[in-house]
Amino acid sequence: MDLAQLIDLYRGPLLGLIASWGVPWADAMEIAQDSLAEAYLSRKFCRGDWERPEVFGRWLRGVARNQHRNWVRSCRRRRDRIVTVEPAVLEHVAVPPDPEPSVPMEKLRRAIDRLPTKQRQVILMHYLEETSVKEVATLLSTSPKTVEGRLYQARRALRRMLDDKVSDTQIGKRLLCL
Amino acid sequence: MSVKLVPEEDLRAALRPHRADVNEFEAGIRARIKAGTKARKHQDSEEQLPLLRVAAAVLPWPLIAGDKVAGGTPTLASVTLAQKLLGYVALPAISLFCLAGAALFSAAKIHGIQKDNRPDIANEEEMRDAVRQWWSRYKWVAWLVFAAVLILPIIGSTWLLFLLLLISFGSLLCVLSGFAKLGVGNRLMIGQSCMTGMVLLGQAMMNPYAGKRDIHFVDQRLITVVLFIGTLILVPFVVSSKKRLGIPGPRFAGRRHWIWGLTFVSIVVPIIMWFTNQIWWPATPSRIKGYVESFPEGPFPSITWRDWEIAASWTIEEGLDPDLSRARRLLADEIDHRTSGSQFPRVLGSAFRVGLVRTDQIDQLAAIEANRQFVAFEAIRQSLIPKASSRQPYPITSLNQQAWVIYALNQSGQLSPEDRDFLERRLLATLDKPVHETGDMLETALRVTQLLDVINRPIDRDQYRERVHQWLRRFHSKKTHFYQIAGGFEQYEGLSSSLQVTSYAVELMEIYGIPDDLDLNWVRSYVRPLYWRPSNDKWIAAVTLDRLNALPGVTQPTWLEKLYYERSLMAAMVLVSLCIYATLSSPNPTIDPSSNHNTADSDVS
Repeated sequence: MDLAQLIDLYRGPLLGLIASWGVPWADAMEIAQDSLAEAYLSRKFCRGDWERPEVFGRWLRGVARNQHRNWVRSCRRRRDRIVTVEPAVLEHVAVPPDPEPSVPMEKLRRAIDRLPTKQRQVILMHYLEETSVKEVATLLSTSPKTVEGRLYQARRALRRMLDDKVSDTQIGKRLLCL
Repeated sequence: MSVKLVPEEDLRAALRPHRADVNEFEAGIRARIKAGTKARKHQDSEEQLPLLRVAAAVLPWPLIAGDKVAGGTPTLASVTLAQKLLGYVALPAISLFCLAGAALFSAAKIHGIQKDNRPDIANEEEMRDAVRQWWSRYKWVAWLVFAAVLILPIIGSTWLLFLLLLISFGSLLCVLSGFAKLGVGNRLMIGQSCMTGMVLLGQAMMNPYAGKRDIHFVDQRLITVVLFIGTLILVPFVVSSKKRLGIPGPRFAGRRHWIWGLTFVSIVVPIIMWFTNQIWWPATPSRIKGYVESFPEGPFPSITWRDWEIAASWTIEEGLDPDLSRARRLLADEIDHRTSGSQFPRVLGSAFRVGLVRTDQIDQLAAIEANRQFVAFEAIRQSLIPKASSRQPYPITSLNQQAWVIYALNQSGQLSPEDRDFLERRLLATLDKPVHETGDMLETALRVTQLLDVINRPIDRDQYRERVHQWLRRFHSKKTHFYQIAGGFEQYEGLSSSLQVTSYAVELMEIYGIPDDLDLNWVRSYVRPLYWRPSNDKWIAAVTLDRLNALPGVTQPTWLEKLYYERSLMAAMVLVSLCIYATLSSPNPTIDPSSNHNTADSDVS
């Protein structure tokens, strides 16, 4: 497997995975690039045959998690400093706006953000670039059936959120609070 | 009842603005990989040294590398748990810290034990009973220590020897506290026990395998010497304690105590002198010059000349101006009588390289009849430089046998420019297409380089540097073969290292530079001064070590490295100090005149 194939295979799900950890999309892009480059450079340290997708997927996820931790630390450090940035720079790094922002789409995005982590993960990984369930499962080191199950639950939860319906679980939680 | 789900198309549309630009994403990764590849080149050695990776992960880089390396802390992801644990033990800083900590702890413990030590038994029989009691209590521990003393030096790893010496600290404390509890912790008993322990350890360290698997800058027999010196220091105290105890009986009467002491000293001192002869009689430049001038003849002329040539070349390079008249005389005898038969060409090769052969002797050599194998000047000349019509630049298969003819032809001015060009091609072909790539490559590379210089066609060093470095890496050995020290260069791949080949390797490093990933401390360790080396090896080792330390760009070992690699010796010194402290701080036994029984002083020295 060469580098171009690796990038094609993991670009979408990796970006979705990192975004599901609560990273803004622009930073998620940087972290994804760093992670893929780092995983490729240090592939000889990978235990097992790195050319096997399940082995490299597990390796890549570990590298991405470390990169994410570094990013969180650097955010904490940056929070303590006063940084002056030119407005032009901010405009450059900002996420490009949706050319035709529509109310239902915005509502759906907010609903995705409110999903439980595991469901949000599979939604972002699967639908961002139409990655197959099998590849998502490879990167998460889980079975395709599990991924399919989470996707189903996520879509059902999203529908309920969009219809402003309360799920059974939420009803149970509210009752417990009473 | 059907379950309502969000349409997949809506989800795709919602996430579409966040998709990455394919080309930009790939370009970003490729740029990172390009930058990362350069940064990682210097980290390749980490992969080969998992213990170093552990060290690097635990200690800050500047402490390890002396501010010479920049970069982040390596991770331990690919290092196994066993490697991590071993790494912590083997860490220079931690090992030395352990040693210092153990020394301080032991000293404090001895001080604490001696404060409450009130030996009330001074009768010989009672002492024996008390020792028997101690033995029955600590029998299994003592057997384990004896087993460790016998087995660990045979394995030979330095960290095991170091461990053994640290165990000895514990044994000393165990003996001291045990004797104190039983009331026999007087100077005589403690001193005798310490002496016995040090003699036992010293003998164990004389094992031929001890300290040969790792890097050391001094002979590991010095551990035995340190331990034996410790026993010598304790002898007068033990003897005087015996005398002071004054147990009646012919065995201890009069001067017999001192006879025992003198007998012990007369056995131990020669051993110490023998093991330290590299200190009293080192290979100084004047002694090396003396060896070169005396030219001791051996049974095999080619070996004698080969060894002599290494030292003789060094004395000439160093400007010591040795008197080579004896060597010239022996060479003249060889040429007149050709006493060494098939070894004659090798002798001539050595003589030419040192510059012993005169032009009139070349005429004499050329007149040797053609039917003699290896010595037929004209036949070798024809094989080396055939007629112009049939010239093919084949590799020279027996360069060592034929090199002398090239020297002779050059010195007598018989080589035309065409001949030189052809010889250059043949010599380079010898390097490019070696006949046996698994053996003799280092000597061949050195001889080809030297011969090309002689015929005024110097080798392109930049072109051949990487190849020579590969051979240096390939033939460098960190393994011990039987009783050999690790760290030298092998003549044949996988076989034992050779001091001569190590000398050739260092000469190659003078010409082609030091390979990046070759740890010169291994080579230093291989040629370190030893109490004994066979035949002329002492001089070759000294010359090679001097050349090695004078290599361009070579770095000398730091004090931390020296301390770390000699940690067993340090541990032995600490052990001896503790034994002396324990003995001297023990109360001295005296006779109580009122009760006619022996008691001990209660004052602590």
